[in-house]
Amino acid sequence: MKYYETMVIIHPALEKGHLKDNVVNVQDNIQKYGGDVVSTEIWGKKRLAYYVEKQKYGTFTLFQYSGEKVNLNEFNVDLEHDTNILAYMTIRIEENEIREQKEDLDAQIDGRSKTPVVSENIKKQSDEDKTKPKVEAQSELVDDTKIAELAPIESAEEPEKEDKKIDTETDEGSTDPITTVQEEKE
Amino acid sequence: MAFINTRKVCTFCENPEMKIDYKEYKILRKFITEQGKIIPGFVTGVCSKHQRQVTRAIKRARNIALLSYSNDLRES
Repeated sequence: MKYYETMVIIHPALEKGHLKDNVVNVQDNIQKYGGDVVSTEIWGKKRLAYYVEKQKYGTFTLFQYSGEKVNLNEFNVDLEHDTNILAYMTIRIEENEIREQKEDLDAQIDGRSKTPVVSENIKKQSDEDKTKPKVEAQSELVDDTKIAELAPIESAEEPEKEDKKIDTETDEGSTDPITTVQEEKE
Repeated sequence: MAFINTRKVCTFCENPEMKIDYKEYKILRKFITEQGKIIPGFVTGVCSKHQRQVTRAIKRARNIALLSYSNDLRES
């Protein structure tokens, strides 16, 4: 058994019903040319790295299918003639590269803007990024506590200066900071 | 004089769970320059086996408009 996947960029103007029709049409074509669709993923509308047929955006859709004798030439010709498809690419994959389809087409089309498809690797990286700042935050807290421990000793040595600072801070609310500086100088 | 080992370790050899795939275009962005050129393996530290896979993945991603072929820095 051979496994293939086809990435298709569908015209960004198509939404909901029309988009589903187009996706189902491609699935039918795969079955017509001797393939069994294993999974379909709609990534949603994404910005293209470069203009394709004068379009800046496109809806990425991934079809994974299997079959012994899939007529890819005819299938690719059909994709070429479809005006709603901006670009496509078919490659052969291994069995372990097949992704499980978690949601139906309708659910993917409805919720594609809310929950974009994120691959496992990217998820792991984002999790690592989330954990790192926490560690840094903890270290900052530790530093703050150290400073807090040190601060009373300094304050004990110079209590008068602190009182002055507090006075200036309270005055800032009522008067301008420039005037408070002048008062300090006086 | 102490010898300092500055040789980089391949990120994909370190993390075997990381897949090299054209669909993982966000990871592949680390291996291309701002202009869009593929960075050689001796700069990034990727071993030759994985560099071949990265190159193939980048070329596939370019074909399907996930990555750009070239980016003119003067325009942006």
